[in-house]
Amino acid sequence: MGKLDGSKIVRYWNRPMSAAPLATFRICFGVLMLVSLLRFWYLGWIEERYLTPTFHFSYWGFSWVKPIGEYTYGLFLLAGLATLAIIAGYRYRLAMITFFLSFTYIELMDKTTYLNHYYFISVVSFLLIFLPAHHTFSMDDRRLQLPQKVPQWTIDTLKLLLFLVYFYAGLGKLNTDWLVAHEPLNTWLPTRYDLPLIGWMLEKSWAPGLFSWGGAIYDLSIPFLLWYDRTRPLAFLAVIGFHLMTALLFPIGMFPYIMMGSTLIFCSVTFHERIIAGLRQIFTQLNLLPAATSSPSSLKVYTPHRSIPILLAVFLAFQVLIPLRAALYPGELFWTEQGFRFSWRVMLIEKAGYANFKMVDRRSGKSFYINNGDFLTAIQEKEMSKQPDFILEYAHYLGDHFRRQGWTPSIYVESVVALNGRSSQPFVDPTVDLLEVEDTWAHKDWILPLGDEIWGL
Amino acid sequence: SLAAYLDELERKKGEELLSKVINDQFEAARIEINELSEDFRTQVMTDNVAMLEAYDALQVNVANMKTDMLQALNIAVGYVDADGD
Repeated sequence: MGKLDGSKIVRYWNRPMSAAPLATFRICFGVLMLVSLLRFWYLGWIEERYLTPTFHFSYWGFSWVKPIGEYTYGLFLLAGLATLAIIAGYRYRLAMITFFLSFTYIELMDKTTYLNHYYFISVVSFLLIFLPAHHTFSMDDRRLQLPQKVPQWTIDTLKLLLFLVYFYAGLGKLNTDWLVAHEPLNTWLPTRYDLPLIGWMLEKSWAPGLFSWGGAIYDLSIPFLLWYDRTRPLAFLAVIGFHLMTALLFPIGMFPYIMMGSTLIFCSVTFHERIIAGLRQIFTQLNLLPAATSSPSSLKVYTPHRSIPILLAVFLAFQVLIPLRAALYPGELFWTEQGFRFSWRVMLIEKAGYANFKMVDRRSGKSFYINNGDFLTAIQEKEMSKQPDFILEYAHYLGDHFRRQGWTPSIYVESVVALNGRSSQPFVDPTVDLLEVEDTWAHKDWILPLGDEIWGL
Repeated sequence: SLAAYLDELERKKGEELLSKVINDQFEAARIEINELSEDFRTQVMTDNVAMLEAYDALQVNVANMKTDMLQALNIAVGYVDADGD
């Protein structure tokens, strides 16, 4: 019996499917990425986030990724050109690798800019390098006559990733702050009373509860509802409704649109083939494409090297495991944030902090407080004041700075943080010289406890 | 006013309204500052502790306003795409 099930699964994974779903994913992704890059540049954020700051926070293990000053514009240009090639399906694999490397480098330059959706883009672009998204409706196909059929697992890889993202986002919401205190929505919603159509509702006392529970139920159920044909049409309405609502309520940029575009991968093959056929018609009428001819490649199946599906399986396994590392750390996750990133905890907490750094010269005993504005931009200071790893890195940076000036510094921090509607409370132990603390993956015992318990995942 | 907005949203610090906490703290700081001499230079040289106490009293409200109040009113620092925390 077991052997029968096993071979059924293998046959399912290898089932030849139309390459259309991957092609529409590729085109959507490329367009959304192009728009994202243009928007980032247009809003002046390249200068504001990568050129103006004199100091950049780096990811652990990636401090060798240095900011490159004016050349950052070149990096964005490179990524942008790559998106054009991705949309057209021109030298797709090279374009995808270029996009992945340039985009990820941009994100690695400064931890301040970390967003779950930038991480999502890096993950998706990594997967896309290994997926045959250029086999249909692409310049590569015109040139090379690529197999028009792809194995089921190439499409399911993307479905599984989206499944993980939604489901983990839902699991993250299973905690008493979200479900019982209805935070942070209780902080975020009432101030949006001025929104047209729904503003009146957001002020009501029942709104945060409704939105909190609704959001959790949505995240947990939607991947299942999208997977099955019968529930998909309704599910997709929910997807559009949910993401448009978040776009209206929160300043989250391109994320809703990227998610809506990515979720299309769940739709049926017929749906995607119709889109491709439609696009083909438009392009033929604009004389950008010769009329379709049937070719022997339309029946061939893409068979990559055996290592590819194994690589993707290992990668997805890591994606399942990485969010779980938060369980290895003591203390309240939302407070200490150890293991918070890369776990699809999206729009889950509201945190604000205030950190006052004091330099004490061990030789003379002189001390003074530091004006953070001398070293960090307002946005950097905001992010730093509530995240311990930033505080530690900044303290070491200050230590180096003062050492160069001839002092023998110790750095102490007096800081408070407010989390999810709680009053601000002391955050960093003010008696700890942070220059004595090394930046490791070990638990940060210099963070004072929250003094409150948040039950849940 | 900011105080009226905070009260409308019923934002509290501990058991009291945040607006009251901030105003009370300003009062406390005012008392400390009134105890200082007209010339801060002499004050520092004669009794620096009083200066530090006045400074600390004001600092409490810096935290109350920059952290509690900004969060309570959902005021964003900087125009950036956000992710929640």
